[in-house]
Amino acid sequence: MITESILLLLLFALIPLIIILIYALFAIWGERKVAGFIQDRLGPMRVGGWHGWAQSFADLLKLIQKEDIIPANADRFLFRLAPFIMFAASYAAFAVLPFSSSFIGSNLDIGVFFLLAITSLLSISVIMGGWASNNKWSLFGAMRSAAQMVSYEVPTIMSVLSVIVVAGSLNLMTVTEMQSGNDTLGFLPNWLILQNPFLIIAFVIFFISILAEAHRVPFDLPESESELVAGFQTEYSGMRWAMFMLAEYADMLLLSLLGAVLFFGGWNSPFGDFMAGPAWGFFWFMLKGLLLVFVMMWIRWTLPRYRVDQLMYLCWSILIPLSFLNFVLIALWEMIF
Amino acid sequence: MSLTTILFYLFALLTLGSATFMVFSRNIVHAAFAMMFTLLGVAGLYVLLYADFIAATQILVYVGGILILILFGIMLTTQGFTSGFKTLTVNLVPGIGLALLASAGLIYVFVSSPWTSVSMEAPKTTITEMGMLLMHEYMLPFQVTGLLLLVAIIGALLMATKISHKPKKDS
Amino acid sequence: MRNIVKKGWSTFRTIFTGMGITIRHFFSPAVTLQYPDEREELPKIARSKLFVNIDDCIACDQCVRACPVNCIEIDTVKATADVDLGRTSDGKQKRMWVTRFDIDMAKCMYCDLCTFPCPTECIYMIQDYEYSEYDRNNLVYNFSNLSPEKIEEVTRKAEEDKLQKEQQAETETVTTKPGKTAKQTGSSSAKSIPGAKATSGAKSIPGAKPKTVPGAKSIPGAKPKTVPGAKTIPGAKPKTVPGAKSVPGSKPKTVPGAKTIPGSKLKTVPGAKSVPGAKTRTVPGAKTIPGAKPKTVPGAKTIPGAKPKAVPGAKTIPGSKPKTIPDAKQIPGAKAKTKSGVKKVPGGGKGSQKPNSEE
Repeated sequence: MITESILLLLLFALIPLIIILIYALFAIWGERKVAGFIQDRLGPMRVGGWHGWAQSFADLLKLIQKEDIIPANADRFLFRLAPFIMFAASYAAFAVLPFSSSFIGSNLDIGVFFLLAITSLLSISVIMGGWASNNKWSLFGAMRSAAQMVSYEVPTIMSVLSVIVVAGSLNLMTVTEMQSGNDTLGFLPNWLILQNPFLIIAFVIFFISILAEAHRVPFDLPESESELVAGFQTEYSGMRWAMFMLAEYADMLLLSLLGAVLFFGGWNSPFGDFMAGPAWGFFWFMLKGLLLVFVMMWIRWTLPRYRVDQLMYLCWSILIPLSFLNFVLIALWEMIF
Repeated sequence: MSLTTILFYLFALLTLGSATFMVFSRNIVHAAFAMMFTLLGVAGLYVLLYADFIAATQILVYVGGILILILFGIMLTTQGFTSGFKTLTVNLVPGIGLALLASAGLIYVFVSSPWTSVSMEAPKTTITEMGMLLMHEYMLPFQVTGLLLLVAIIGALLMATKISHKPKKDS
Repeated sequence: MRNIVKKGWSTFRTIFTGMGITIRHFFSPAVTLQYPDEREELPKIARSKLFVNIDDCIACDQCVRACPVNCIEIDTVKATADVDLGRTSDGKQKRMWVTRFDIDMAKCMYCDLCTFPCPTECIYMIQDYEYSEYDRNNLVYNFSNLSPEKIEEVTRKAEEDKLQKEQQAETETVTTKPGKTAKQTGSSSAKSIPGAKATSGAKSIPGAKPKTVPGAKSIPGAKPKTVPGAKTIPGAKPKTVPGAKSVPGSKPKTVPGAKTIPGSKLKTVPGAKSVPGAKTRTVPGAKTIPGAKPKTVPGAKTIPGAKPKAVPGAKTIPGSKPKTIPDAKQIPGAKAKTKSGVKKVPGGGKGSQKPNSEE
């Protein structure tokens, strides 16, 4: 009985893991392709035949074979622990995402709140890795990362809260379900972003904030290679580094999927009942999330990096007041209409 | 033994073990990270009590906020983070006395309380009740807390804005 | 407030402008060349690798002297009278066995300077750029097509021939000078000189003959001498360029079938120092000359390393004179020639002085 339930649990838990792993492999390859195309190059072309699709597998094989180097003066235990905590935090957050109308890891009432809470572990793990490396670049990166993530959590939460006010539930499944149907202006899908003009502003704030939370350009200060080598992961190599990488990409997907749930109707098909269903739901959900991921990559190769003070200025002086104001306006809009 | 029981012992062990480590650790940064596990273990225990909102708040506020503040405080105020911090045992007698007093009080409360068993029925929703309470019965404290936090945030914004204006003027 | 809105608007406008540019590039075709699978055709004038068509080489040595980094090495053996080496594709008579023609592509800097002086256009750049090697020594390309045995044979023959000639010369008493020169210049130069004598048959102008005969070869040498640099060169040749080249060079001055040529050379030379190109133009008479002049000039002036001794000597002239003296000894007639040359020379300060001093 117990073993059965545990097995079932593990099986359930394995589904997002598989999704993350497959996604990460192809996202890394995809990012390099996007980078290549945007720069009029081709990107990886040689591994696996068609457009080098197996490049990430080759990289993974290489990383597995690499020597596991721990700096002599590093804090060995914390150094080893940090990547796992980081990945665990990213992975745990997938539990509350409704992948399709019939699959959600854990249908929590506090869904999105849990997601935001568990991702705050990311900054702790970053500090842990940066401190344990006993390297100035790592520590700088970790400090920047922590400050950045803590700061940008505020506008993220405020914009999420705006959606929650409109949707009336913290449960992401409920939020998704209330976005089904094509009633807006008669033909548009009932996605939240189309229902309230202020939610568009909320989405912009949300997107900027998740860029910062996922350490993406133009907010990639924690690992800005031109200043900090690789930030908090400077001393990591081999599979530990791969773990960090995996966690980062998982985080990116997680936040993009969250954006898809909150603003773009999650697993709802854009064509109403056409192409709807559990499998199609999964397809639409991933498509929306991956589109946001693509936009993140696109922005990465467009914009330069912010300076630290600009980063903080943007957050505290612009995004946070704006998100508060926007929150009030959304509440008013909901009261009136 | 049900799965819940196993999980309870797991979380309890995690909480107690990391708390012990935190108290006896000679390295203050290790102590801080041990505290993270303590807080996580407590959050797990909250979940087992169907208080998932409290658990998430615990993680968000304590792990994601306060603990990071503590770590920042440790790392930014001293330069000894590479050599490890020395934790000294001082004021042994008053400390032991205080601890004994506190445990005596706790034991007294534990013994004298009329404990009743509540059925472990899983509630349908965990936050609706709480929302109702906050918005009706405890409206005033809730609003006052909100106001306080708003003032704090505005103060933070003001400070941040002032600081970030300086380089602008230079340019 | 208005400012904030304006600023915010311009922020987003610029961001979207940038994103528009990047997305346009995202969909525009890549410029990448998938190198091992696809190769770009190099232009015809691409400088990738030197190639020598050894069948056309007359061993004039001009490419060697043109090379700023000394990556070309040529050894030659004078062909004996009984052998006909044939003609190059443009009709020049070949008179030398090219026993060694090595080009060190590891040293080569692809300046292409060696290809222009070549009178037969047998050295040129080809488009093959994929010749990396694991061992640097593999980058030394041997273009000589003679087998070791053949080289041995040819060398032996040339030696014998030379010996014979020397004996002949001794008997004729005039030969002492050439003997000296031979000693100074070294075997190869010695060889060529005797050869020259043999052809010319004239004892008095043995040096001259060889130069004139080989045409290209001799001329280059001649030019150097005539050139103000040449003055230095004579000295230089014995010391630095023991090779036949230097030797013939000395002769040419004296010899040069055309006195006018030397004269022109001399004149041009002063200018030549500054502009080698000018020299070549002035001495159209000899194809080799253009090449020769540049070579000698740079050689003397620019490549002190090689001829350093000669150069300083040249400036001081007296030092150089001793060197040149052998030449003088060799060919009294040469002196006369030099005189004539000198007259014209005056234009070149150094040049004029030297001849005078010689006199």
